[in-house]
Amino acid sequence: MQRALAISAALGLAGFCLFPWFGVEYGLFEPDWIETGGLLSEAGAPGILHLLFHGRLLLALPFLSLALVLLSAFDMRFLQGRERLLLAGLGAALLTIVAPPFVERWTGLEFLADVNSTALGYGAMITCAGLFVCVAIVWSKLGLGNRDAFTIASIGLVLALVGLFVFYPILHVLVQAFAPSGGRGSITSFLTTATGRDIWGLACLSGGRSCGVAINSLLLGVMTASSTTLFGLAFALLMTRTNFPAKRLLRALTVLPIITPPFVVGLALILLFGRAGAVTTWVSQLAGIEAGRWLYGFWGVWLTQTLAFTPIAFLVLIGVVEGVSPSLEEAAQTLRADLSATMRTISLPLFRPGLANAFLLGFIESLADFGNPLVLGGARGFLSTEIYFAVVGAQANPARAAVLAIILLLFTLGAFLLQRRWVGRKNYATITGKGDNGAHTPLSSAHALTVHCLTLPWLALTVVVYGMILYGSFVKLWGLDHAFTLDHYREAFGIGWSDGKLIWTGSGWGSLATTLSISLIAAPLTAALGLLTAWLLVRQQFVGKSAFEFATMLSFAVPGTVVGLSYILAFNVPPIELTGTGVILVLCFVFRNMPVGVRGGIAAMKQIDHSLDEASLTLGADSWQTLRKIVLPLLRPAIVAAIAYSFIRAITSVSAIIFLVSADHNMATAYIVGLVENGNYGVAIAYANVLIAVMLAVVIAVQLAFGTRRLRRHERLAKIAAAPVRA
Amino acid sequence: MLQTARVTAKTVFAEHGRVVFEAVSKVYGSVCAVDDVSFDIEPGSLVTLLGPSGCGKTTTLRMIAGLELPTRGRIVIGGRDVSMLPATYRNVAMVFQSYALFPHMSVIENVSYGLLMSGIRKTEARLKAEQALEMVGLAGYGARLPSELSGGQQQRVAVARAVVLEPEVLLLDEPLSNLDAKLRRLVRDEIRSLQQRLGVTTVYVTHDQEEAMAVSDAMVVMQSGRVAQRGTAAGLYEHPRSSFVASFIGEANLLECEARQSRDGKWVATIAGSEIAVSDAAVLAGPAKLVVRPEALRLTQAEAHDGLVGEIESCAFLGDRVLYRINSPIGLLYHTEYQAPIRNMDSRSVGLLLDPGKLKLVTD
Repeated sequence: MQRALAISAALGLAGFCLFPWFGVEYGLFEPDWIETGGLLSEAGAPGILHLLFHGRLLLALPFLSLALVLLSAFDMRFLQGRERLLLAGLGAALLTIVAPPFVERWTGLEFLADVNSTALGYGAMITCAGLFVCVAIVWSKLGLGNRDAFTIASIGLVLALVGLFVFYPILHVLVQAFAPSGGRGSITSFLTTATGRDIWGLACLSGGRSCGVAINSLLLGVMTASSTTLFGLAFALLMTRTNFPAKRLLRALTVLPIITPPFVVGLALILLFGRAGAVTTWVSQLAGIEAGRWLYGFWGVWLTQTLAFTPIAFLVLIGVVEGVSPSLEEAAQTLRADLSATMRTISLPLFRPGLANAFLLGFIESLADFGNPLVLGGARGFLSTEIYFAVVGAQANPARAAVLAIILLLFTLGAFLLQRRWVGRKNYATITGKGDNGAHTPLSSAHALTVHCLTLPWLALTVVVYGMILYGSFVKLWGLDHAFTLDHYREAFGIGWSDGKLIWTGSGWGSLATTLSISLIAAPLTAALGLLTAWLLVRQQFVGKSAFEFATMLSFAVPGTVVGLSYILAFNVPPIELTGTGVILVLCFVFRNMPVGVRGGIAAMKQIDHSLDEASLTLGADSWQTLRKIVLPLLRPAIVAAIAYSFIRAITSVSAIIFLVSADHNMATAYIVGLVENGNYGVAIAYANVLIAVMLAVVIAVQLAFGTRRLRRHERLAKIAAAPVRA
Repeated sequence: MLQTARVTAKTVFAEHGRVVFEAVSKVYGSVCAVDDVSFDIEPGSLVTLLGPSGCGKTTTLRMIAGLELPTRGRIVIGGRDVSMLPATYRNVAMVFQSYALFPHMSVIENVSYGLLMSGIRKTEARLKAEQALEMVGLAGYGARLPSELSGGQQQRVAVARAVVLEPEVLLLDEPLSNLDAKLRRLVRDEIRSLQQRLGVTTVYVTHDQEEAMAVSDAMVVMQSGRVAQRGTAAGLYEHPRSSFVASFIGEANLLECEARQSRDGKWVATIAGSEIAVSDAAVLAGPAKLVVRPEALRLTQAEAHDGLVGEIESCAFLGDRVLYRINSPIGLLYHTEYQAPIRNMDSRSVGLLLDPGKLKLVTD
């Protein structure tokens, strides 16, 4: 403990004395920076020089408090009884570093004019980290609550990070939305934009050309949610209540939405039903109708989303349908209900919470979807795409983008709150842990027919769609020249030799390398942060925990487009300047996918008996040792799953990062979207295939390595007859 | 100078292993799980915390372990105030109800875990762990995983893992509840003899009064977060202070009565007009409960009896004893007779002989 205190204080002091306090334009080891004076110039000076020579006297506080801690670490008697004072000093020091830039930014006051203009640099960050750990250690010495330094530090760290990278950016969206413009006050300018006809217009209902974007999105959300719920239920019933021969295939279906980049289904549908699509040409030749553009609009997006999101509804509903105890249905039958009456009066009412859940999830997914509307949207705008065009389009209107983002956020948050408040409590699933004998009742023949009529065409279409994705990448020019070619792959991923050296001639290598490296960096960080948060939520008690849990889960419902917008609004200016870097992409992935790790972690940790942790604590381990030696080893499957899943989600993500990519750091999905916008479908599909192949490999590898939980390492020992011991 | 040093050393030695609760309370939100509990556990003794589920006994145990910190009051272990000291830093070891064996570690890794955490070198830890396993009769089982052991063996590993640390206090949370009935008596005796061999202060939580009476030097009976009574098994059985303790420890019929002290100081219980002499009372005059244990009641032939007469409602033959349900003017009585039933079963009326020396009056 003493050593930890000394080390962290020394670290903080090192940051204060040896690293540039403010942000340096290009890395620490750039010759430019060193030539202009490096640490000795005012711009690159460490905190200690700022304090001594540049008149930044406020920096005395961090220096003095860290020095005091270092002293007291060598002689604990000094600390005795003065913990509170020291804690206050450390806290104040932390505030003097962190608060001024933010306060000045928000209030416009310039009480520290010189700090305002520049972003905080490595020196400030390291000093903050040192101060932070010291605060945690000294706090734990106070003995408030049953917590050690590691727990306090983790709680503080997670709260600070989530605040800074989830809520602080969204705050910026709010501020931007309420920014006064054109001589109007903030409220009026917000209301003028927010109530515009282009957002809420209802013309399409009365036969006019088109509705407002919010209405479009709402209608699409409701339609997609209805259709995916219906198909999801049909598949769940097909799986559990019929003798469908290919049930394993249905399970495999659930993997599809995980490994498919979000716009790929839309792309495949263009190949089928687009202007030059296979079906379109065939039908127009056969019936002599001119090829229509119906796909590029509301109905096309709806069809695509139905195909893309049904597996999600299926995943939700299979649990519900399997969870209803067979004995309830059997009881109904002994009470003279026939098969169809049993379904109507017992099973369906019991599914109702699950159906509502699937509906709301489908609604959120549909509203948050960006790739498919972008690829297919055509003239009809939806909220998520409109936000994008308001930022990058010719009009470049960030205030409008912010207003649209808030409307979209309100929709998804509303659905999320409904799901939590209303559906979350009702759950008839009867998983008791007791063996429940009996089998699920089969469907009545009429119901079985309906189910098959719904699911079989969907299955057929999905097979065709994925066949298209594969086939389409190998033909020269879709609709015109169907000769086999590898040109698209060659264009994106060609390799050449020159002067005996390997050259990556393909145009896609750069973005693929960026995508893989950024995803590989982000995935373990996501898993670590998610599992740490889960551990805090499941195993620790602290003030405001339930609010914190709620907020973490809430960030699930923030659409990617809103996240992307909030990041460029928040991190384009000091005190935290990140746009254009790879760091912002990593951060975006970490905090966008963190809830996945949290959920997985919570589920896994709840299965580990709490008394294991307690046993470890009573055996003299502290909470960090307990986490490392007991909890993490038992969580290994969950850790691997979290890493793999965040890796895959990072690769397939498009909505958030399309705002954040730059020339130096382009991502695969953004690159593909660019290809699609230029009509370069062949290469786009070839690239998408490569991505799918990479992700499929990851999924299969994880499944093979960790498909079954292995707690019995020494199976062989079980076979040795137990020695005769009195038991 | 020398004198003082010796005295201090002696007090410290005498305090080692002593557990003292001073007016300790634990409040969760608005629920008071442990309410103003005080007790003092002698070093080297085995004390059971006994009570129905939800009485606060496990919370009390967890506060000794440091897994819960008290809301109010002071906890002193070995002369040192540990009230706010978390479990990690207390010299206390616990055997969990579920055993809490780490499923991903072998038996030997489980047992040496605490030693390694205390900074003991690996080879030494292993040696000590092997000795501990031998002590509980599991030598040679070190390489197995907990899942490869029977319930009884797992329980021994949990005990070995705790005692290998040579803790100041050993805590046992319902250690027998996951074992089948036959194994329980055996393991119970083993735990008791191990505890006496090691001389370690032990706090044992159970809801089974027979188990508690069999193993402990002293018992603390708890009821809704408070200490109802503490004492030895015999003391609690013979001199319960409340109807709760009387009914929880051993068998007893509790009859509503009016207690009164006659002029010569003898106590009399009045039930429905019948006056019954009682020699032992822990009440003030007024409404009370009369404790009638099986040994305080004898059945005789009704014809030759001029005292209370009851009616046998039912009787059950249980091999070595017969269980009667008797309706009497003073209330419903359950009674166990260990002699073969000699009475004529056709005659359902029996005379009731109450032994004043074995009757007690307690508060409700």
